[in-house]
Order: sequence, then C-alpha cells, then structure tokens
Amino acid sequence: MSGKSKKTAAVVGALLLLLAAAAVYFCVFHKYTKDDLAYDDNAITGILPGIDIDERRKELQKIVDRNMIAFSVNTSPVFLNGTSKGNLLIENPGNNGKLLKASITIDETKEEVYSTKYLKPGTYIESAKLDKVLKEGTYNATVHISAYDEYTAEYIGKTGAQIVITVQN
Amino acid sequence: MKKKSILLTFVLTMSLIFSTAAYAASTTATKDIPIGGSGEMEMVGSIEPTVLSVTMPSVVPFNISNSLTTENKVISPRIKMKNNSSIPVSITVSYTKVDISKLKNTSWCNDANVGPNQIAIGLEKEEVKDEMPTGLSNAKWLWANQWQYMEVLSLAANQEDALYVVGAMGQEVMENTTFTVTPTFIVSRTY
Repeated sequence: MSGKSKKTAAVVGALLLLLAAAAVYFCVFHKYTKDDLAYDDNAITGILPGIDIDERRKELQKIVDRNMIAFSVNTSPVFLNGTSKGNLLIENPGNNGKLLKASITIDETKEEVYSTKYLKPGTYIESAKLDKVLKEGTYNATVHISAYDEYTAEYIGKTGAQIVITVQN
Repeated sequence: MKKKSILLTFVLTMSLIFSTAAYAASTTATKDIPIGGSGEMEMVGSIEPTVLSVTMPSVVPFNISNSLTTENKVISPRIKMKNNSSIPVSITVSYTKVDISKLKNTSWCNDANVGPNQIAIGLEKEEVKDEMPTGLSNAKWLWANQWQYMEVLSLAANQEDALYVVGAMGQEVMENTTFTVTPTFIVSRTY
C-alpha cells in the first residue's frame, strides 16, 4: 500500500470512529431527553396547602376516566381438540379508543397459551387456535387485557377476566 | 295387470326409501337402552358461549397525605366498574405491583395498623355516591407484590358500582416522594 493510500485509509477510519462516537452520544443523549424526565428537585409531592380536595379529586377523576378499558370475552371457550380453533370471542369495542392486546394464561401453571397482537377499537377475535397444545380437559385460565394508546401505542395498563377453557378431545 | 304391478312396485319402493330416511333421522336423536341391559349412550352436548362484557379502570391514581385530618389519608377518584353483560360478575384484585423504593426507610403494611415508617393502601366499596370514605373500617387491603385474589366488588347484570382507594401512613413516612401501586383487576362470572 502506498503512503497516500495509507493516509486516505487513516482519514476514513478516523471519520468512521467520529461517526460512531457521535451515534453513541446521540443515543445516550436522546434516551435522557426523549421522555422529558428532568424532574425538578424542588418539587414536593403531596397536596398543596389550601388546595381544594374536590379540585384534586376532579383531576384524578379525569385520569381514571381517560384510562377505562372496555372489553368482552367468552368465559367458556370450547376447542374440539388441542389443535383446533375455539370460540374465544375477544372484543375491543368501537367506543374504547385504545388498542388492546389479550393473553391467556393457565391459572395452575401460569403458562401463556395464547396471545394476540394489537386489536384496534371496533374489532374482535371470533375464534383462534391456542399457541400451545392442551390435552383433553377443562382449564381455569385468565385472559389479561392490556391497553395501549391508540396513536402512540404507549402502554396504559391492564385488567382481565377469568375463563374456563374446555378441550373436548 | 302389468301396469298395476309396476305401480305397486313403485309405491313400495318409494315407501321403503322414506321409511329408511325417517328411521335414520330418529336414530341420530335418541338411542334406547333396554332396562336391565347394558349399553353405552354417547352424550352429545354443547357449551353455550357466555360473553362477559365489562368496563374497568386500567389506572388508579391517588394522592396520600398525612395532612388529611380523616382516618383515611387518601384522596381518591371514583373508580367505576360497569358490568355490561346479562350475567352477574365479581371483581377481584389478583395481584398488586408495588414500588416504594423511593420512600426511604419505609415498608409496606397489609392492613390499617401501620407503624411510624409504614404505608398501607386498600380499596373500599362506595357507600354513598360520590363520597370518599373517611374511615377505614370497610377497607380491603392490598398485598404488595404477591398473588392475592381478593374480591372487592360484586355486580349484578348490567349494574354499575364504584370503589375508592383508601390508605394509612405512619407519621415518619416521607411525603415528598412518589411511589406506585398498581392493582390488576380481574372479572369473573358468578353463579
């Protein structure tokens, strides 16, 4: 390799290193500023003296009301056998205003046997196969419903329902 | 004569076909087992889907402060639970995720008998509409980070009711810090 080529390679290498360093710096910097997590040390958690309790309740009420989850589910889904579809009937109602994800775990083993991707408001799963093959029998299980913001997919919270799965053969 | 014979044969053939069909239909509906004999009868049934439809909170915000003069130290919103189904349901708290790591020297308490450095959070059914509980006598206390399965509410078909967050805290618990308490509500059909 000639002297000129070596010099070019060194410059390119240095540039690449600089770019990598800039990328790492951006990622770290971005992580700390993205969610605006710079809490003020001077802030005191609690109720400002003189603040009306009813006013504070109204603020809290708005948060609760905004984060209510509506859903429907079949409490007794039936599967002909371990690999067939069953009538899960999981619904995200049209007036929900949130994305929902459902996952089913068997109560006794805590094993997840089914999960959905996001369900948009106004959609439902009528029937589906489980992700795990269950033997013939009845299983107490819990459907966990997780809610996400409809536009940002930010996690909001979760709730759930108890169901009994029947596998007939 | 030959015509009559052909007609008779046709009628007999048709009646045989229809009677066979009728017999086949009846055998799928029932099967007789002779008294005193033995036999197996296949029981064919179906499980009707029971669709449960509810509206429940996914977030339960509250403020807690010793500056409240009541026994209950929590300011809570009205936590509505609505059963939109035609079957009765019960609401339980299956698990409560608690993070009090920012509260220095503070521990969790599973009931109202808090020590000076303890905090306890529970839920109470609404007694008077839109009125937060002032006492703690009817509170159901949340256990931190463990399975609990505690019933907090029963709802008849198409009924709505509400809960409030209640709490107690010791005098030495810091008030200038946040902490999180996240109960998971599970609805189940009641019989």
